[in-house]
Formats: sequence, C-alpha cells, structure tokens
Amino acid sequence: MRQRQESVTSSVIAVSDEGLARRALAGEHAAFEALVGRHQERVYRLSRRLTGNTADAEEVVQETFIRAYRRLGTFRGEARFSTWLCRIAMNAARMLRRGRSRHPTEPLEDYLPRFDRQGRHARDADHGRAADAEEILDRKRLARRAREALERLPERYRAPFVLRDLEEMSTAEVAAVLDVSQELVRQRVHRARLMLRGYLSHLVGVEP
Amino acid sequence: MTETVTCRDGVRVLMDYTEGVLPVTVRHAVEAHVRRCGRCLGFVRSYSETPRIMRRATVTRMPVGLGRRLRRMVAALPGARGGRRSRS
Repeated sequence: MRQRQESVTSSVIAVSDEGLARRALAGEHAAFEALVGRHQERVYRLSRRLTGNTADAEEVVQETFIRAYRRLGTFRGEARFSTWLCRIAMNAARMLRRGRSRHPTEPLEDYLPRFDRQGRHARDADHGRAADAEEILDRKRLARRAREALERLPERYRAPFVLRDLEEMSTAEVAAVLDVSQELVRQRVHRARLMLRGYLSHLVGVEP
Repeated sequence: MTETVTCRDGVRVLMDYTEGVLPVTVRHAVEAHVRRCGRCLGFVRSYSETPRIMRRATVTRMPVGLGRRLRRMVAALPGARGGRRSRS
C-alpha cells in the first residue's frame, strides 16, 4: 500500500499544476489529490484573510476544492492554475460573506490622510511612525488589530489588497482574478494601503 | 503637477510610483518634493511598510484537522477509489 502511494506521489511530484489538472480531468484522481496538497495552505491563508475567522475560512477551502473539481473542465490553461483557483476561492468567500448577517463595523475612511488648503500634510505628526508598529505593539495585539482592520475594509478594497499585498500576486494577476483593469486594482490597493497605514498610525498613537 | 508638487499630489500617485508606472517627469518631481519634505519622507516610509506589516500580522497556518478533512473529502469525490460514483 505504502509502495503504491510512494509511486503515485513520485509520478505527480514533478508535474506542473496545469499538467496535473489535465490528468485529473482525464480521470486520474491522484492528480487532483496532488493539486489539493499543493494549494491547500495558500487557499486557507487567502480564505482566512478574506473571511476574518477560522470557521468560515475552513468552509471556503472545502467549497473551493469541491468547485474546482466539478469545474476542472472549464480550466483552459489561459491563466495559471493558482490564479484560476484563487478566483474560485474569492467567489466562495464572497458568497459566504453575503449569506452571513454581520454586525456593522466602522469603516476605515477616517484614517485616510488629511491635508491643509495648500495640500500639505495637515499635522506635524511623525508620519513614519506606523512603520514601527511591530516594535511598538505586542505581536498578538497587532495580529488581532490587523485582522479587525481587514474586516473593516470595504469589500471592494479588501479583495484587491489581500491578493496584491498579502498574497503578493502581481497587479496583472489580481486584475485577472477580479476581472477588472490593472488601473482599478492599483487605485483600490492604494486606497486600502492609505486607510491601513492611517489605522496603524492610530494604533501607535499618531494621528493619520 | 511637475511645477509644484504638494504632499497631496505625491500621496495621490504613490501607488503608481511604487509600481513604476509614473511618467518619468512626474516621478522626478515627486522625488524632488519628498527629498525636501520630512512629512512625506515619513509618510512614504510607513506607506511602503504597511503591506509587509499587515502580511506578517495576518499569517496563519492551516489547522491540522482541516488537512485531514480535505483528504477525506477528496477521497469521497466521484471518481475516487471509494468515491460515491465514477465520473463519466
């Protein structure tokens, strides 16, 4: 049994995601198992960041792989398999959040930078201090606050920010996943960064 | 904009600047402003660090139990050995 398992593992280990997807579609179940093994950590991390809690993230992961299996035939190989899978996870997370009644949260708009009439930064605060948040704040507190901040980002900003800055996808990949222009991705990631930067500043005791 | 860049102007194009998609004249004007504006210097620093701080603060590992559940789930998919039915 173990020998068979090792032989299956070695037969898929050097194969690209796209090659595995083709083999899975042709009925080779081990190929799909290998795809799940390769991508489960990343899909979980993405789902956790998008949903804000463990239980929802686990549901999204399972739903993502079920949908991926059912829709393998629609994977054309035009985008990378990981991009295609991210799109499925994004949609699963969005559907799940829609179905949840959520407590209204204060948006982060208050943390956008402010300027005076001449277009200068409004206050003479230490504008760089947010960069030291990791040194100033307790790690657990920062983690909790960071998750809360993601939760408070409006959906249209959260998804591009998570994909671009937290999952470190290229702007072009994010645009492909979200089916929007690269310019729009840049605009939304920028606004998310501004809000989060201001929020971090607030956490370390500096006005945005 | 290239004549007199304000802090607001610089902040507006910061993402395009970091992505390298700003026209070269605008890029030079922004750099010149930031060189002589302490507030913007600090702002750029914290803006650039924000993604990294958020990334590190929200890193999570997949629960072990989920890995087991996924393996069981995949094994039960149609077409798997022991799955519900074969894919046609």
